Amino acid sequence: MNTLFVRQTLIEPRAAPPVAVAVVERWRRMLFPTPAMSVLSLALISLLVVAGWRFFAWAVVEAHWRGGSSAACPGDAGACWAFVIARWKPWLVGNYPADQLWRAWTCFAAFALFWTWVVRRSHAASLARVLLGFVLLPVAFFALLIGGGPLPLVVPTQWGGLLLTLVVTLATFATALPLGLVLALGRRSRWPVVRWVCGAFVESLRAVPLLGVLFIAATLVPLFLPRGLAIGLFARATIAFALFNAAMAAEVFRGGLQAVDRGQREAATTVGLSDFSTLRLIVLPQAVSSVVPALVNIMIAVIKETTLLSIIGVSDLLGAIEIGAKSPDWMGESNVLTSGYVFLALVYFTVCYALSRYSRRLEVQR
Amino acid sequence: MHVRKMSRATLVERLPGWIVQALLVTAIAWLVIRGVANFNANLKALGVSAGFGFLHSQAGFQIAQSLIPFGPASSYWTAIVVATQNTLLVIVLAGAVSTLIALVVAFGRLAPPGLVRGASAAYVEVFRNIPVLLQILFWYASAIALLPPVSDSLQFGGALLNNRGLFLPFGSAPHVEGFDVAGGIAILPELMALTLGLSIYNSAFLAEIFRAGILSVPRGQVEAAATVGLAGWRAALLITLPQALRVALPAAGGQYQILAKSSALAAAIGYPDIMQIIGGTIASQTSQVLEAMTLVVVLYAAINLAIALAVGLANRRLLRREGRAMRVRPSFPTALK
Repeated sequence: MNTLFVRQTLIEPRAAPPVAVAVVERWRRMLFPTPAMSVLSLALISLLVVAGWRFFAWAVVEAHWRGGSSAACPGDAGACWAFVIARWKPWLVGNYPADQLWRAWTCFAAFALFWTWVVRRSHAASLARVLLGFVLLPVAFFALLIGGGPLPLVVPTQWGGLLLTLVVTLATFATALPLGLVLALGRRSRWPVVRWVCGAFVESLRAVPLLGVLFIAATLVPLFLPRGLAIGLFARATIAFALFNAAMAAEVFRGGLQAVDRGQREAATTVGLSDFSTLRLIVLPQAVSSVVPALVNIMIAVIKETTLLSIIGVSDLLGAIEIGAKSPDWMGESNVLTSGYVFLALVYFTVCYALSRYSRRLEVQR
Repeated sequence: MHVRKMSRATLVERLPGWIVQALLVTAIAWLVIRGVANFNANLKALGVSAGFGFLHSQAGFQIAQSLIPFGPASSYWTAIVVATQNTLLVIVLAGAVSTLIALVVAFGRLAPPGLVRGASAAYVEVFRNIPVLLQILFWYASAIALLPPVSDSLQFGGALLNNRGLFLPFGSAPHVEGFDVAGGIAILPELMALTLGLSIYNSAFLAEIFRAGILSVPRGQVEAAATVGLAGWRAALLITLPQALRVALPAAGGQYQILAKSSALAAAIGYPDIMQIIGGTIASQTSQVLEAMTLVVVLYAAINLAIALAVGLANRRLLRREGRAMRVRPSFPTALK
């Protein structure tokens, strides 16, 4: 009469037993676990309440929303959102001619579509296509925005605001990445002259502030160009940006190349791949895919760095706001500029924070 | 015969390399020669003569903040020294302040889940995702707009605070004289805004570096400290922090270099530093752009190098101390006997 009982199926997983802690108790534990933490929490809460209320009062309760000049925002009790709203066009596209604006909107829309595709594509989809898009997109944007042929010519001095920030960011990214890769490969070259030149280029740019490079591009470079050949400030600044960030990207790529195991290269040689094929088929795919999160971080840095353009007189997003606050209509009230800065802080924070979350997601997926 | 065959094979293998390197050298040499020729032609057209001779002539401008005596009669050379000192001053100030903030925030991020941790995380995310130039400009605009004019200066003890700056009682007590403040030491609003902006922005990055360092300290260290009666902030200060700093030092050094380089943003608000005085005022006043920019590049590279050397030295000392501790450790059991 011995019966053996053997289970035929697995037991269904059960949820963890609920933690029976009252809401009040949970909050008490979170905010006041020890006397020292309680003091800290109380100080933080009072700070947050006071600062939060003052900001809310400034930004919402006392804010001025309508009006076309600084007369709409008297005093400094409330924010002057009227300034941001009334000048939406300069900060979006700068002085781009009104009848040609569809070109600017096309760029924004194309970028939005492209970026949606980049973020939402499955991770397995080809990385090469994304990188190709990043190189082709700025070229297309440049051609469309400058015009020529059937389209009327719009010189870059008429671009500005968010449009200019977007174009410079993309152009920097598109040129700095390939150049950075070349520099990184050059630093590992077996030819000493190539190694020295690439190393000297990267190290000297890394030792100088970006603003110094931009100053050199703005004031010194024209002296070294032949007389008669005038390269516009916008082009010089963009090239300076590209070279500086190429040096940054070179360091990132160097890390990625070093991370590729030596054995990979040796195995490739064993099966008869040439040097170039080894690089293209074995080394680069591994090196590049391992540094993608770091490349997104470079993109964040580039977006933040574009603000420096306003110092040398190229009107990016920050420049557009500053020019606006100095224009005759909006002069006189200090609150106008502060409101512009707070608005910009919000814009940059939203973009950079979203990108940093994306970078972290890529890192986790890897 | 055999030797000759080998050498030909070697030659064929090495020839592309030689050609590429020769082409590279030629290209760079051509660029340099063309650039120098253009440069000389352009200078002749502008009527400027190259050279550092201008350094000894009279500068003729005033600098708002100088640690050594400086007036319009001083030479350009003195102006360069003053500007370098101002840059070093803001780097040291911002470096110290950002390190202090970063340590507090790093420990805050490792606190148990709750308000302190959330606030620390929010601090890091907010301030590292807003461009540092924007932060500096914001603090500068706020300092000018929110602080009272000289006639309504705020008083803290002997110190005066108004929109001309912070005046500390040092030597003589500061007092309002007409539309200006006399006596004491003045801290310009530009210096305050720059220090604040650089400190807050870089503290967000340093906090993450320090957090990684703290996380790298094994749990057993804190538990062992608790066993021998060290807990709370004393354990954090005496046990965790020294070990965490050793791990964090190289990365923190890189961040200090970034801080030093971004101090050049002083030019945006007119704080008289290397970039503003040499790259701006001197370059435009004398038209010696090449000389001025060379000085700027060399000075920043030297500061960068000095930070790298200091961090490397500190790192070596820390590693050596660790090495000594390792050697001491085996003798512990005998000492206990």
